[in-house]
Amino acid sequence: MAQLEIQELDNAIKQVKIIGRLDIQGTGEIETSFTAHTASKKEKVIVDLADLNFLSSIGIRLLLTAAKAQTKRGGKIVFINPQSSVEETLVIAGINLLIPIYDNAALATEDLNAAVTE
Amino acid sequence: MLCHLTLKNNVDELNTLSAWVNDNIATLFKIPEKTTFKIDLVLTELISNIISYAYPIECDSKIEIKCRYWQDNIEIEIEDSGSPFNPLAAPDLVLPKTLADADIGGLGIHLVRHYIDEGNYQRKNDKNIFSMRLKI
Repeated sequence: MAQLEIQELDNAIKQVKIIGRLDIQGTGEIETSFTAHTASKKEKVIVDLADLNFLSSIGIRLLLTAAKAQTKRGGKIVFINPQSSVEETLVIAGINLLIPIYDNAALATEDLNAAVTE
Repeated sequence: MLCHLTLKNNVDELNTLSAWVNDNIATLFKIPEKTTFKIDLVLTELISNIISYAYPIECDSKIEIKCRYWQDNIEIEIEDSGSPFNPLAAPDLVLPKTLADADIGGLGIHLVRHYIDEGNYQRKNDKNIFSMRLKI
């Protein structure tokens, strides 16, 4: 089971919080909405992973596909606050080298504002 | 102590699998949360692979999983009657260096191989038997 919580922050930054499990079922549940919120137009996106309790390869592929599409549009996706087991999985998959992971929103915001111009 | 689970080769069974790991295995063997996450991940990846790829012709089949706690290790055996597949034989995954290059297949098996401390594959009586050990 997984769901999303969307929040508009200052500086035109969108925060997308993933809550639950990104296994086959959870990934299927949020896939369309997550892609629409993170990759349908050029944007600065923080994906909050604090309440993501489980991440399998199918979930990683969803995150990666969105980040790839957003980069192509000239925007950027960064992650914040992963739980330690989720962060370890991201590191083993090499995702931390492709998508920055921060432990707070301030650092994420700084990166996004510097990387993405209007 | 031995725990046993039989699943059908149906994607809906993955919820049963995770519930079994998080409710039964973790509680019974008093496994820390971090190890439970690893077991959940490893089994999710391996069983998803079996359900998705081991049965090219649609048929009802069963996947047997046995799990036991032994001297600070969790030993797990998975048996299925699908096409032969050795998760240890796939070539090492080359991780992408840039987002543009990222087109990841084989990530599930890469995670499995990283998380298990020992694995062994056998093909016996037309069945795949994959056994593995994870340190607590």
